Order: sequence, then C-alpha cells, then structure tokens
Amino acid sequence: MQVKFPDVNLLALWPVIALVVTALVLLVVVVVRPRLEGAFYALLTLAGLAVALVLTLIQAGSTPISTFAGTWRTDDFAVFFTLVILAASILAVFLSEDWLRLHNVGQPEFYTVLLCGTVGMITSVSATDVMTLFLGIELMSVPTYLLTGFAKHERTSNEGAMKYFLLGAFSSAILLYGLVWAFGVTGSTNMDAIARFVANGGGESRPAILLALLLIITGLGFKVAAVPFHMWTPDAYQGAPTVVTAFMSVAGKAAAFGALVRLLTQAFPGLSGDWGPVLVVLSVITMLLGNIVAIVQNDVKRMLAYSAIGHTGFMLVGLSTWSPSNRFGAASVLFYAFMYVFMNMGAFGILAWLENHGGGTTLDHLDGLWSKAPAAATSLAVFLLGLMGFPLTAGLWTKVFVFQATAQAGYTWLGVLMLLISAVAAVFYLRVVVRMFMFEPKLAIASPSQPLMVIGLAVALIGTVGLFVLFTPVLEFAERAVGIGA
Amino acid sequence: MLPLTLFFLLFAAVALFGAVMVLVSRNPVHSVLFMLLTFANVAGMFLLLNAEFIAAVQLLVYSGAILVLFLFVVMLLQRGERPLPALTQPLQAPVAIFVGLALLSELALVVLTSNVGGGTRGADTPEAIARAGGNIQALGSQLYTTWLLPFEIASVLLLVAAVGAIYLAKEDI
Repeated sequence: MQVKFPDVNLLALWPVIALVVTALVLLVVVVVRPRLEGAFYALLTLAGLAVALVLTLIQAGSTPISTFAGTWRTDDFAVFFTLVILAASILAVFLSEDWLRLHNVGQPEFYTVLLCGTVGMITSVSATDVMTLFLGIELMSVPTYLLTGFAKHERTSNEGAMKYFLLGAFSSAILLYGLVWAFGVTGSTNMDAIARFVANGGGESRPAILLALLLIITGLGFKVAAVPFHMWTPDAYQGAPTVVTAFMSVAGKAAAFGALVRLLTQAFPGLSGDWGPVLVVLSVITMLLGNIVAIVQNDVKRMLAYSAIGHTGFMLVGLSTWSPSNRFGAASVLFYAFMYVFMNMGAFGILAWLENHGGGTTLDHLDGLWSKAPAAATSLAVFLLGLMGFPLTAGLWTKVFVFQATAQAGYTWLGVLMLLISAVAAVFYLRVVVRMFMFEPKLAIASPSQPLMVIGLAVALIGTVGLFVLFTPVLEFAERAVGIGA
Repeated sequence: MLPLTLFFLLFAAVALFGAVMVLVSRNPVHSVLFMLLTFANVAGMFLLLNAEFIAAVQLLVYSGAILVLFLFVVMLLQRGERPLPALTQPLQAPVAIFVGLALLSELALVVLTSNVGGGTRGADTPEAIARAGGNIQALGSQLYTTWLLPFEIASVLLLVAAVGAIYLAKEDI
C-alpha cells in the first residue's frame, strides 16, 4: 500500500501554531508555577496573540496558499477575518485581566480557553473543506460555552451557559446535517468541488441541495444570532461575564459570518438567487426584532445583546445582496465586522469597567455617570453613537456601505428600511446617553485600579473615532478579500 | 425484495423505534437502554454499507463506552421517577408540531422529487477501499494524510474541552 502524504505548507498556519503553542505554554506554566502574581498570564497571552498578529500581517500581502490537501486556504479573505478575530482577542485580554483579578477566578484557564477559541474562529474562516469548517465552528463554540459559564459561582452565568450550550449543540447538529446532505449529493466535502456541482443549479438533485443550503443557513443562523434562531442570545449575553460577552459578541459573530460568507459565496455561488431571498427575509425580521425589543430593555447589557441581534440583521442585509457579478455585498459585511470590533467591545468594556467599580449595568446605575466618571461616560457615548451609525465614528461607514450594496444590487427598499430601523435604534442608544449626561447620580461607585482595562478601552475608542477618517484601507482590503478587482 | 433491503428496513425500523422510546420513556435508565438499541441497529446499518470498521467502532465506543458513561450519570443523578418535562409556554406545543411537520414534509418532498442518488459519487467507493487494503487501512491512511489538519484541530478541541470541564468541576480554582 502506498501512502501519499499531503502537501503541507506550514507557512499558512503560523498564526494558528503560535496561538496553540501559547495555550500549551500557559498550561505548562500553571503546573510548574501555579498562582503567579501580577499580570503574567495576560502578558504571555498577549505576547502569543501579538506574534500571531504580526505573522498574519506578513501573510496579508502574499499570494493565497492552499494546503493540507485543500482543507485550508490562507487567502485575503482568511487574513481579513483573522485580523478581525485577533484584534477582538487582544482587546478581550486587555478588558478581562482586571475583571479576572478582582473576581479572583482562574486566569490561566481563562486565557487557555480564550486562545483555543481564537484558533477555532481562525479555522472557521480559513477552511475550504466543510469538515474542517465544522471542526473550526465547534472549536469556536465549545470555548465560548465555557467562557459564558466562567463565573461558575453565579447563577446567571450558569444559566446562560446551559442555554447557550444546549441550543448551540442543536444548531451544530443542524449545520452538520446540512453539510452531510451537501456531501451526500455532491460526493465531496471540498468547497470548490461543491461549487462545481451546483454551478448549473444542481440539476436533478436540486431539491436536495436546496435542503442542504437551508439547513446550513439555519445552523449558522444560530451562531450569528439571526432571528428566529436568536433565542439563546439575550440570556447568554446577559448571563456571561461582561468581558466574555464583549469577546463573543464580536469575535464569535465575525467568525460565524466568515464561515457563512465563505460557504455561501465559495461553495454555493451558483445558488445565490436561491439563498439571497432567504437572507433578505431573515435580515428584515432580525433587524426589526433586535432593534425594537432593545427599546424596552432596562438593563443596558441586555439592551446591547438585542442591539447585537439587530447588527446581525444589518450585516445579513449586506450579504443577501451578493451575486457572482456584484460582490460588494460581501465586502460590506467584512467591513462591518471590522468596525464592529471596536464599537461593540468598547461599549461592553465600559459596562465591565463599571461592574469592576461595584456598579451594575441597569440604566439606574448609569444615571449621572458624567459627573462621577466623565471619561467613561464620554467613551460609552462615543461607542453607542458608533453603534447607532452616527457621523464622526466608524459606525457611519458600516451603514453607508451596506446601503451602497443594496443600491447596487437593486434592493434599494431594503437599504431604506435598514436606515429607518437605524433611526429607531437611536431611541435606545440615545436614552443611555441622556441618562448619563442629564440625570443626577443615584449610586456611588468605588475606584479600583484597572490599568489594562484602560488601555483596552483607549484602543477601542481610538479605533472607533480614528477609523472614521482612515476607513479607506480597510474597505479596499475587504473588497480585495471578496475578489473585487482581482 | 433483496435480503439487503430487508435487513436495512429491519435495522431502520428498530432504530427508529428505539429513538422514539428514548424520548417517551419515563425512566431515564430505560431511555439510555433504548438509546443502546438504536446505536446497535445503526451499527448494523454501517455493516450493510460495507463499513465494518465504523460498525465496530460504533459498538465499542458509542454503545460500549459512552452509554456506560450516560448510565452512570443518570443513575448518580436520579431521584426517583420524574414526570415528563412539560412545555411551559402555551404556544410551544403547536409551534413545535408545526415546525416538525414542516421539516418532515420538506424531507419527504426532497426524497420523493429529486434523484438523490443521481449526484456525484464520492471517491471512497467499496472498490477504492478494497484497493487500499480494507476498511482500517483506507481509514488510517486517509486520516493521517488528507484529514491530517482536521485531526489535529479535533485534538485541540478535546484539549480545551478537558481544560474547561476540569475548571468548571473543581471547587478551588
């Protein structure tokens, strides 16, 4: 028997290898030297993430590498999402360290799980084989379930983790069932082979391939928190430690969107006329439900969870306009995911900062924050205005380019609807700002020192404002990543 | 009818019966035992598909190891017989029935209207497996060549699951 070894190009995998090695080193360090004082574990994790970031930036300009028998491809698309995910992970470490220290929960375990989750997310967006993609999705999901329940002595954290885990397991099974149908009909798990099969619409097997597509959209719809598959989102986002919510609402969503965009545009491009309308319906109900239910929330953390659902709807609008001849819709999703990192992590980060000060996340706790902590109040206002899509923040461009995608694809009514819903969303974002700046403070807050948290929030703030000016390189990179002008 | 088809129908019917009984049994231990029945019949179906190795693994790992684990957990946690969990929301049952029926009719429609067998066949046909020297050889060489990367990713997945489980279960971390 002859065994043919696959082509292995480790150059494509360096960032992932760096992250796995860092996670393993962390585990070994815990065994050799448990309970190290200071921010040692955080700095080690940051070092690993920084190395991965540098390696990814080196990959950014080079030609696409397809390796491991066609299961992995490091192209501009993968590099773009890897940068988004790494940026979110780095910010998450900055935001988490002080929370972990103040609550005295297992730091090395937290960072190990975080790093492995990051590896899973990068795998999800780099896989060109549905088997690898599914394993990446799982390697992303299992750590996020764990992180949701990381405050293991708090009931809400346990409850959120349990709900997330059960519904996440179901959604993974549905996704897998869809992938199996696709494999059964096309005879291959490779995305290029699937794309060749569906190029003419699927022929005799068309109903079967459409069923596969439907199951895949359902399964990944859970992961991106699209309505009606959003049931886990408010409870998981509210129950999870706030720093974890920040991480998973950004990085997890980016990775799931990366997997969805890659599957739909690279494995099923021939069926864009079929999945496009499905996504239009999903995006409309997602935008409506997310943004309208957010209005009646009294807890800002839960409100941001519903706002995260609403943002999923905005991103789905962009993706639904994609067709092989008009790829800008996918670029708008990539662009959105990048900008969303700074705004959303910043908003949740300020809430975590308040909690570390002994405050809570309800509107009452935010009353008069301006008079007590002007910097925090101003930052939160900027992040919320960004999420709203206000000029002078990067949020404006996210909405503008999704709208441009709808206009180019002839879905202008959908773009107009999106802008109208954004205006409705302003109600609940601005209400928080009004309570912070115009109400009298009700509750006192303590002031522990949170050095790393402040750095993380500053980076998020600079990103939100700075990218309003310097958005062109990101947009150009996103366009190149989805194959515009290539 | 071909004997193979007859055997398939037998295995499928018993497997489905077991799966339904897992859901409706009042005693969790019975549920686990019915799951064992389902798994054993699925192993039989793998045998019919010439996948002897998968059938053996199905019996050893799922029916053997994992179900014993299930049984331990159920027996450790059991406090007498419990009533079936009721659906709390009034709308839940009708919506669940509607969605279930919709999915079932969709599946029926797909199976009846499309030529499912008319798709492309995969590369791992019985002939190709025989050429490679049998089930185990074919699987082994595939696992460590074509599927090397997914294999490694699965190992990271198991690692993080173990780390997380230990963290959640241990009191003093």
